Amino acid sequence: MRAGVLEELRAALGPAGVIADPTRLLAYECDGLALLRQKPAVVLLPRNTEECARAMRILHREKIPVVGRGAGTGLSGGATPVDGGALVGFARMRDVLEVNVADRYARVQAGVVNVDLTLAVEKHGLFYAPDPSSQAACTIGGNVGENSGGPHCFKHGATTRHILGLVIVRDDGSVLDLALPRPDPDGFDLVGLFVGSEGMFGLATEVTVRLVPTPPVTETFLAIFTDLDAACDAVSDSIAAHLEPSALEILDRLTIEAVEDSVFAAGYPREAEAVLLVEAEGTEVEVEATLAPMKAIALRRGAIDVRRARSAAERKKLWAGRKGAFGAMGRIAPDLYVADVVVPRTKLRELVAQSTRIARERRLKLANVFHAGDGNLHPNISYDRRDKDEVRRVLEASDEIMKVVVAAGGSLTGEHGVGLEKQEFMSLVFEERDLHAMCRVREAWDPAHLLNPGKLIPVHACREMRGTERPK
Amino acid sequence: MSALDTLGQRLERLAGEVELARPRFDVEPLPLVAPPTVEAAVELVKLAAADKLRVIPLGLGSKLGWCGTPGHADFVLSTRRLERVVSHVPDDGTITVEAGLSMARLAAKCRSGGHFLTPDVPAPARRTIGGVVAAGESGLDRLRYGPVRHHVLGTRTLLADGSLARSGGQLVKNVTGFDLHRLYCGSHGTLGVIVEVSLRLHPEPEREAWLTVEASSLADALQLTCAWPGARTIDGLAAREEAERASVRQRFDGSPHPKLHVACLPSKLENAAKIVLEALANARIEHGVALQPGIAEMLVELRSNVGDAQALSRLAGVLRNALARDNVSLAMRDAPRGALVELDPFGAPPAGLELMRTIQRNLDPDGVFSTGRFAGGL
Amino acid sequence: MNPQELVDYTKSLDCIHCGLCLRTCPTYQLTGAESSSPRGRIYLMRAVAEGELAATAPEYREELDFCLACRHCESVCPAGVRFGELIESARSGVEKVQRRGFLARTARRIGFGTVLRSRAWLSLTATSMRLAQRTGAARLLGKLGRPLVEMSTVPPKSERAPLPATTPAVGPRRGEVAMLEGCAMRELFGRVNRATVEVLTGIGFETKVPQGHVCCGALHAHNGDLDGARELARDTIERFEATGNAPVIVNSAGCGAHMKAYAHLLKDDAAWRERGARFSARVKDFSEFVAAEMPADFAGTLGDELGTLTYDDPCHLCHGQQVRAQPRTVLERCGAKRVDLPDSEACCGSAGIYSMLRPDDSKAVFAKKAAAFRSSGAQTLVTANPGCHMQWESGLAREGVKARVLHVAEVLAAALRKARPR
Repeated sequence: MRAGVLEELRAALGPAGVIADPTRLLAYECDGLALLRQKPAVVLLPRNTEECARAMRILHREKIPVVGRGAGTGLSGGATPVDGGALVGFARMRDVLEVNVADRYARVQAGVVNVDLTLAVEKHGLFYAPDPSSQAACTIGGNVGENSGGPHCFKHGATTRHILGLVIVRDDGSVLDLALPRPDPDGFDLVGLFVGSEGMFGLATEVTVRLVPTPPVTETFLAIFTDLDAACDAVSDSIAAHLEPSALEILDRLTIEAVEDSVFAAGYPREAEAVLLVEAEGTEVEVEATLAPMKAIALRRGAIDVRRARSAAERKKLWAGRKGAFGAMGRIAPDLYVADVVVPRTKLRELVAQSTRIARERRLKLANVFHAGDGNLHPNISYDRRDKDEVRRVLEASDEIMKVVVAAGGSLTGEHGVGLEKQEFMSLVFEERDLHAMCRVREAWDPAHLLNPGKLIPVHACREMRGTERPK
Repeated sequence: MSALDTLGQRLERLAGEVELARPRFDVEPLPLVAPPTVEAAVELVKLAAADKLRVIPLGLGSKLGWCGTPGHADFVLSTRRLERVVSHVPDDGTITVEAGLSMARLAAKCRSGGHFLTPDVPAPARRTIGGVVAAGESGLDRLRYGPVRHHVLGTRTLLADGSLARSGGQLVKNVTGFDLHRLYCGSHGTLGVIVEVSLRLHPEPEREAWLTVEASSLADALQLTCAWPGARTIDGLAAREEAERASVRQRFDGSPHPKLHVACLPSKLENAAKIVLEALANARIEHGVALQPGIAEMLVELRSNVGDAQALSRLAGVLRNALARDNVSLAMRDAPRGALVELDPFGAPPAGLELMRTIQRNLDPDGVFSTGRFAGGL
Repeated sequence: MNPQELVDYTKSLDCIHCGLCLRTCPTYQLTGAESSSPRGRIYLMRAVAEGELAATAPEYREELDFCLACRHCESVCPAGVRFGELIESARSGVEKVQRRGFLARTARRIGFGTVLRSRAWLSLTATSMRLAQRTGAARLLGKLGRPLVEMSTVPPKSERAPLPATTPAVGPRRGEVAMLEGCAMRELFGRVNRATVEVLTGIGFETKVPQGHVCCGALHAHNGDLDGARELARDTIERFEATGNAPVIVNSAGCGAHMKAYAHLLKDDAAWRERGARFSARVKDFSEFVAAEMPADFAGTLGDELGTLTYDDPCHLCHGQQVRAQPRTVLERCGAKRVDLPDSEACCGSAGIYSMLRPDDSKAVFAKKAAAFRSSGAQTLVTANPGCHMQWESGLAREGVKARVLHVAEVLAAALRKARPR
């Protein structure tokens, strides 16, 4: 970085908004994907859109690459810094700017934590529907960047369906104000295009989100299986039967053990090979009309017991256990690799079994906890990053899982994004012309390739990009 | 004429028969080709790219009147013969079809798997899925199911360089790659031709009920619907005169009269409707109204006494200004070209127009699909 | 020095970097910097152990010092990371390789080495503090005197008298307990100690207080003096072993949490580890014990004598000892009118001597608590830890909020007096 730039950034953001000492920078070298690490040159923590824009103008002039970061809970390396680049963090942008109860939307700064948004609006009988498992930490801005999912996206859809507007700081520090919620976009749907662009189109600093009325009745039950295949089949059957609960989650034995040993112990039965967590919401009639046939399907598929949560507290505990599952894996080994593939919901059993086989063949410990209703599998592999050979086997298994999934009509990622991790696998799913179109659109937003460069699009696939990206 | 003939002959060689069609009701007819296969469509676009021709893509053309008058255009490319069902997996609740499949036939296909097709649009036999997606058209069921862009899982789009680019896929949840399909939704064919669409399907409802309340005047009806507490939770509640659902759905469809399309946030609709209706009453313009308070949308058909094109343009401009304060948008549909000389039918220039132009230029440097019909002259 | 000896490396490996701790961390809330979060601090500790970061880096110590060690992160950590133990060992590691400035070194030596080991010194310190406060000399000390100016006045000597070695049960004797008099508790909160004895004896428990005991060593451990902490732990264990096997009642949450973890502190010495574990099993927080032993005639006597109460969880009671329901239960059973305090499990910024070492950070953390108290509508704040007690008293006064701050034992004593007028 050129002399004087740090001082200029400090003047723009205040001294607490710029982190440049090597010790503190070390803490930023990875996000939730600890496998890939790179120390940034500087971390910037703006407090508002204006500060962010000021910083971006300086960085753009200096041709310093920029990576955005919410809470750093992403699992695909979307917020892994770039060598010599800046990291713009949103941890100081945590204000809820407006709650409009009549028109059911809220405007928030990008660093508002997902769960805090729901806490801020629940007194109005509203909630924010997308609920990633990391919702107690992850930010709305990060959710926008990754188009995050969560258990209840089965009914409500992923983040993109809930974003009504954005304020975007562009690559050059100009501000694109698309905050006003409109029923349909004016012109091209820039907001829809931006959601899930993994920080490569700009930095969202303010987000207008749709709020959903809290359903009058919510019921949760747990179907207990002695066999993981049977639990998968129960889900496939319920999709085929056109049932629409609000969430359909599966946890396997290893996951249950980890959760039950943790502070989030929820009473999942340790004797089960798998549990199916089902939630339905709506009016009492709707809920009953969904849960009764769900229960019948589970029993037909061999569930040994079906337990209904008796109170809101019990329901909350079941979900806290589910959402703490990734972290709870820390009890099994120091590191965790979370895969995130999607498969057609007719092929759940087959692909869950395949991933189990792939891990077993490589002597790896695999736990399954996943959004079964959406066909979004999370084969989680526990490992120790200090064991180089184990790391190699983990990567090999993850490659293999992606290959079998794509061959079966699935895709690389359902909610965690491509990032740095799955970038080279994009060619499994897309042809060069598809990637080329994506490159051309990216060029419109960021012609100098300063925004999260080296992510999502495989370098070899992009005609314009060849030779211009920094070497990894 | 001979140049046209030559083009006609070349088009014919690539796509079979060529007919003449108007890309809007009040402009000169152009040659229209409907390629029988995606490959033939690719050849047609390659021809256009090579000869720097401009192309207007359409399905069955039901929504051409939503757009502005095209600048220069050389031919019209209809997807109406691309009707294959590429993949239908009822047990996964997904379907992929070619873009020219009519909404009526697509709905029947979905029903065969126990699913229901949204949006529930007017005259489904006269609309293609590609056209509905490209125009971002909503139906009465939007209140419950949301806009059509929420159900598009992926597309295959024919771009200006003749390449077929995929985005998304046929999976209900998927974040692999940029969501370019979101960009194509609602772009009215100004970025490329959507040739294939994958959709998420919804279970067919077990039962439907249709509630009609008769009001003695439009003002009463307006007040009633806007104040209806359940208006945003009851599927398809609409203020209307007729009792049958079909007639509501088809309200004004195919009518030659100019229309005003008002859209806003739900809390702003009542006031917006008052402003519009008062202005029309003052100008003694005879009109019909269809209004959906739940999704805050109003369509007003101007039947008579509008005056000349300039008068219509003036009226729309004045209303647009009056509504802008409340973030209410007013689009003009099926207006005569004269009214559009100084007035963008879609409204004020959208925020981010420069960026939109760059996106369009990057995908289509020679402007094969950039015929200036869309918002801001895109 | 082997870097792996500067942190508890094995424990640091439990963290898988999921980030669920971020939102609960008061210092991360202040700065938004990853290195001021539990996850970030563990990352740095791990880097030290793996030789990627020198423990001599000043920013490393600064981030460790900045931590309140409130352990809120432990309550939300799915991987079960024991952050309290991690921060203690990392601080102890830093003390080994980084020399603090002359003033800080001297203050630490006097504070941990002399004052907190001798009742005479403690008493003298309290007397001088009171003198400095009353004469206005504290103001003349400038920055050094600021904590004194801001804290509530140290009580007079008469209120700092020792507790008797044995206080008999009032009414039928139901058993016997031993009680920790505490270092700061006796000097600053003699009234709470007396209320504690009053309640314990009032519900039928003869109360023994080991004479001559000074400090359990919690402050030493929290501030990186693990050797000093071990010495005091052994002393504490011995003195309480002499009282028999009765439950050890602690009315200071920080001390209680620490004394319940003696086995870990003394883990490197098999014999003492064993004695530590036996001792820890006897330790009960005041409300933990009373909730189980409260007699039926205690119920519903307080009425609205103290106005509406709200209870703020001391970190080392809720996160450190998992004691959450008991204080609320005893307050309600004595008939107090109680409302919930929003975010009651968030740290108030006191954190032992943190409020004196880093007054500005401490106040910034407290600001949210004051807002929460205002929104609760209560007139009385109830706590169960001396540090929190002082923080609330001085903090509410500073913010201009008129409210009373009481220990759970004081509320119960008031109820008891009402139930059985003497």
